[in-house]
Amino acid sequence: MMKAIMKFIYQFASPKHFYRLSGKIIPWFAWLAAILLIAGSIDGLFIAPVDYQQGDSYRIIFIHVPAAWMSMFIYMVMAISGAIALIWKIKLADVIASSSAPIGAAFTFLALVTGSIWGKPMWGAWWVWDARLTSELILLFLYLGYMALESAIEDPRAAARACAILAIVGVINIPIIHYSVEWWNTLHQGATVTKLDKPSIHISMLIPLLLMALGFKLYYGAVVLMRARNKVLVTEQNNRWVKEIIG
Amino acid sequence: MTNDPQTKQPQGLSVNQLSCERGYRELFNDLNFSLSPGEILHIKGENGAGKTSLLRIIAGLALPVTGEIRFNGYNCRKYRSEYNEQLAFMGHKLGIKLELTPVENIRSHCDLGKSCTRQQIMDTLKKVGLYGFEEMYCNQLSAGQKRRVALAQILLSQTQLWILDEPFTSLDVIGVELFLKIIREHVCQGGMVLLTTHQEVTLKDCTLKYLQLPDGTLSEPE
Amino acid sequence: MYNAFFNLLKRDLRLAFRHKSEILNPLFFFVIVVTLFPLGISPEKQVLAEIGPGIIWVAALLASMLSLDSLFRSDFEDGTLELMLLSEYPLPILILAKIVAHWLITGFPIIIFSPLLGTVMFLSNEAIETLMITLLLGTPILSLIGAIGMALVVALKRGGMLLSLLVLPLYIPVLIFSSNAVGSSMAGLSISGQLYFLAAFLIFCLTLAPIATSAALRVSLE
Repeated sequence: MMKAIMKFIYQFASPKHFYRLSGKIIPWFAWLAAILLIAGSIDGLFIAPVDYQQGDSYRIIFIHVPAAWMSMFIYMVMAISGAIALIWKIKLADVIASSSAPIGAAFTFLALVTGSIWGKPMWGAWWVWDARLTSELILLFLYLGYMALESAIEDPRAAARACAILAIVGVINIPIIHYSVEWWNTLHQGATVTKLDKPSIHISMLIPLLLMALGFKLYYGAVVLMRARNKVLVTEQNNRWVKEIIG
Repeated sequence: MTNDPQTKQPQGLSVNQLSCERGYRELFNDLNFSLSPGEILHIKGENGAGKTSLLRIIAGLALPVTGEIRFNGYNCRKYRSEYNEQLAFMGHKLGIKLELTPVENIRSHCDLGKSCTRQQIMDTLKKVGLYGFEEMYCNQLSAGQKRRVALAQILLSQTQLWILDEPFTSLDVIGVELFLKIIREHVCQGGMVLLTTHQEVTLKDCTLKYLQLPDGTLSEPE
Repeated sequence: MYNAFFNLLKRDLRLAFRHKSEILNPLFFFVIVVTLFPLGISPEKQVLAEIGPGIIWVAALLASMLSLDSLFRSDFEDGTLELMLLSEYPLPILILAKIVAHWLITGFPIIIFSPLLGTVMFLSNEAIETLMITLLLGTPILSLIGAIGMALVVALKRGGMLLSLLVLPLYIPVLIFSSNAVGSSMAGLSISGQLYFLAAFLIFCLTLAPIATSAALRVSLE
């Protein structure tokens, strides 16, 4: 039974099959992402009510929060696909992991920038050593380290495996880092307003937030598949089916 | 993916459907051969044909793209420790610390595998022609003498399979002869040797096989 | 297996004593970096006592990171690391021996010298005591985590800068809890929570880091 499942997975994850299938999926992801992001933006910017404390400036959370979620999510994806690649030797998992890194880094950067823009009216400064922002900054360092390691190792297969180990070590450490930063933060500035720990978020704000979050996820799905397709063509350049496509 | 009947328990090393890439360039593809106790395999090929890569894959230092290596019937990657017990490797880098004396070097090498006594070490050093150099730091030894220290390490490892990558580099004529004699003794006692060298190897009363890279054709000397 | 562990530990210590700079350089670095701060900021007692714990810990962190190169670099270059990978003993055990040796060589002297620097930075006696305890718990963590990073970059020619990118973010929890513990004991607060965290983190790293390091080494040496 297990063997049959593994065989199915290997077949499914074969580069050729992936290339064909992803080509069909990408437009769906991309169009759905576009629709969701437009709907979420309209809802978030115009329909959702004004916050009684922060006025209109809170509306940046419709970008900031989903971006921060994505930054964590993508790192998880990288670590999990790295583990899959190491254990079951599925090449496609390596491709997904390395294609994800720059996207994850971009989302992390977006979360940092929107966080600091949001902080300006709230705290009166572009940067505050808030626990979430600091964790996000450290996460950005982890992404940069991953990409630096990947580009430093010449052999692509060795690079993928080294990066997989790094991502797994990183993902084990993220909760520890997060916890210690949080602890450090409450110790040093217990009085600041924690932005997201509000008792509950109103449903009219939750809907655009979820729309945006889902839109971001689909956007990531489309972009990562596009990047992975390109990488597959490079890694499989010696195979006949690739030569047929390239011509 | 081999169809080897497990019951037969083939002795020796068997390499099945091995392929290897460097970067995205294929070095060799679908390589198959086996080596039985008492045989020497001389791997030939031009520079860049993948000789060193092949030896490193067989030693378990590198991963092949596809294929597997079996030793006495079991998969070497799964039973790494048992395989390493039977394996001695001499690469381009000799694994000799310049700040240690030959005796200390050999001793720390033995600590990684089977232990050996001081007397054994001294005897072996004498055998490889390093009598009188035991207590010198290795940075005072010549390249050929360091090679002899590595040879002593191989001898003392008491393993069955020797993987030697360009073992005769920087050895003088006497050194090469000594090395060949030691290889012959090892093979006659049921050992196996895999080696690459650009020199012509001639050994009496030994089964010598050639493997040509990258196409992987096996041949025997006329 | 215990023999393999202790013999490798002994070998590394012996090598370090033949290369005394390996012991002394991280220590000098540590002292010099701490000395720079009073010169750069202010020699006032209040200011220094306030920032002292953080500075001493950041300096210890950097000294530990810069000393990582000696952990695997020379073994990689002369090939002994390859032979360790081919040993019949479990690689994580051998790696742990190397990390312990490395900590004794680079981390331990820092702990011995830390009271001096604590005094220079006007820390109270209790704070100096805490500083030593946190260093005792924290510097092994730095060596263990650093070993993973070093194993990933050991085969790269210019790995130094990259190593800091990989390793420093992972050092953050140690920095936070340790320097905070020292600061808290200056203020007369309880520090058991911080110490428990460090101890737990140390045990966690002790179990997992050698495994991750050996996986990374196998990739790097391919």
